[in-house]
Amino acid sequence: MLYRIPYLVLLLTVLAASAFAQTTPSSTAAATSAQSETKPAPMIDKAAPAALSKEKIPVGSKVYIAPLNGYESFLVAAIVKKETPVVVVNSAEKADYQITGVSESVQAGWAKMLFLGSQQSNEQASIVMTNLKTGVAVWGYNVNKTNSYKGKQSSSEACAKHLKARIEGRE
Amino acid sequence: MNGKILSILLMLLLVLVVVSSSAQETTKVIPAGAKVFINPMKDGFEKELAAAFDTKKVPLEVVTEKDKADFEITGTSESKKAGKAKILIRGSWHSSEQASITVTNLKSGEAVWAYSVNKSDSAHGKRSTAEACAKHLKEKIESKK
Repeated sequence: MLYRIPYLVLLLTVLAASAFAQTTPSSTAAATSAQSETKPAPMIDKAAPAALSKEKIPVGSKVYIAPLNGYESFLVAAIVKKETPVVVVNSAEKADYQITGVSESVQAGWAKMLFLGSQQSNEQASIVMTNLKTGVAVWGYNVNKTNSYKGKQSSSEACAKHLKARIEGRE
Repeated sequence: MNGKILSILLMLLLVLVVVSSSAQETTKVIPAGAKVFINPMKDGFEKELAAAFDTKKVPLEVVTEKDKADFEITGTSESKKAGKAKILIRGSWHSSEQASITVTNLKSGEAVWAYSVNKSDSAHGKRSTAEACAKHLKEKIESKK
């Protein structure tokens, strides 16, 4: 019976290694590409977002949400649910501001279910609000949820909550 | 004399505020019997939604032409069937469903209502999410707000 233990340990190690390889392909790819590049990554100017956030977003502003591969619909629902004080319109011509962005979902794989006991997806989204008259980005927010309880709904509600806080001057 | 003028002005101001606020409120109302056009959605979710309106007796008239409608519904839906891991580890073969719909007033172009739903173990697949949307839309119409 005892002679089986090393085989079991070996099997578990192989499983864990394959699971790790499954969940982190992008990070390893990023690391190899970073190593191959000789040029250093451009520095992000940390002063820029502070300068952008000075403009006040008036309550009741008309906002157009550009198509985000279906995520725009979740965003509208979140704005309604969180009572964000903006009016969502269906055309950029009728709007004062425009929201653009990107969202990404990764469903839980078997390894996550087995080792972490979680079937929740990983969600990330990033949105930018631009003043259509001036063309200036007035607000931006990104969210990353490793175990999103309600999928896209959770990430969009986070965006709506923070937009509300920004309009009300709490952020 | 000045006091009277001031009180009249105050009354007028009050009336204006009340009228403008009620006008703002009415733009968000979806009247019962309104004509609604459901835009095509991913994986034919518009058909599920139309069927759910019928099942849940949503007081709206679904039309097939956008020109005849007062409101339009746009949205998206996503479905993921249970994989082997979910079946073996969690013992569930139900699919994961998420959907989101937005009702827009075609005259004003404003979104009047929106709802999103996420079901990690949907008993009846898309039908469950569509019926959740229909149920909440019915509540919205009946609340007259």
